[in-house]
Amino acid sequence: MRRRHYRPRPRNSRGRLRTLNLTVAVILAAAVGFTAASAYTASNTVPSTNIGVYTHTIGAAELKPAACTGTVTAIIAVPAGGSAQTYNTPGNLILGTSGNDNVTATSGYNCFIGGGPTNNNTDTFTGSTPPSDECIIAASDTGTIKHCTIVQRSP
Amino acid sequence: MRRRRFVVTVLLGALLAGALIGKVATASNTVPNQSLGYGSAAAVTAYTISGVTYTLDSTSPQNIDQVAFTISPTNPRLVKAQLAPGGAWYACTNSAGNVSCATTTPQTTATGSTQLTVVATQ
Repeated sequence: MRRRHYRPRPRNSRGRLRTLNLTVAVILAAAVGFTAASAYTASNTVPSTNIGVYTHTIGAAELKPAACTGTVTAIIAVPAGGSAQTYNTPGNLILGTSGNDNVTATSGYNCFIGGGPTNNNTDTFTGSTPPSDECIIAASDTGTIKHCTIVQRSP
Repeated sequence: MRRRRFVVTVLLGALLAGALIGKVATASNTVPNQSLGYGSAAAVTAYTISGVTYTLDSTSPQNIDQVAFTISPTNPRLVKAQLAPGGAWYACTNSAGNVSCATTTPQTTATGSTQLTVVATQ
């Protein structure tokens, strides 16, 4: 009868030791990978930048062309159609239409911008007395411009 | 030989898994919300706007065709302007700090323009 052969104990211990070593190695490898990835992304930098928001109120003074030198505090949009319009308050930026306009300003300083039409323009403006108003009217204007200094021709 | 291949494969897998976890962990980092312009002076600087001019349409002066201004520092990559709160935003072009913004699409009117807002970013 053959004697039964058992595995020697020392060999079994070595196997466990190998498994333990492998586990430690795996943990170390994972830690190295984690650290390397974290360090790489942590070193990412956002470039310096400029950013800004600016706000400012828009009023008649801001819209007034440089050719008009007086002080304006209100904007008046002349209605289309060419009917006679009279404005009794001073300090207006009076904006005409693309058609012919007929405007009377009775008080103080006003800046009148007649606009179009480009050809055969007949914008009419009567300023206050003594004359202090300033007008920007079309080059082709043949209308009556009274009591107003023509400071610019446009269009 | 087979065992050695197995060990190398397991170690490489662990390395990759660790790297992946590290990447994911830092990718989920969030930068807290800050007010505009907040930050160190060296990193975030507000732009300065000056010399604002509006160009009225020559034929229909009740319309504004353009707003122009100078900006400092002169190198913003994106500049946009708005002429009324809640209104349209207009793209601007910047040439060495001289900025112009066409305001014709949609057409801006003088009476409808109450507040200029400019946003600039590098």
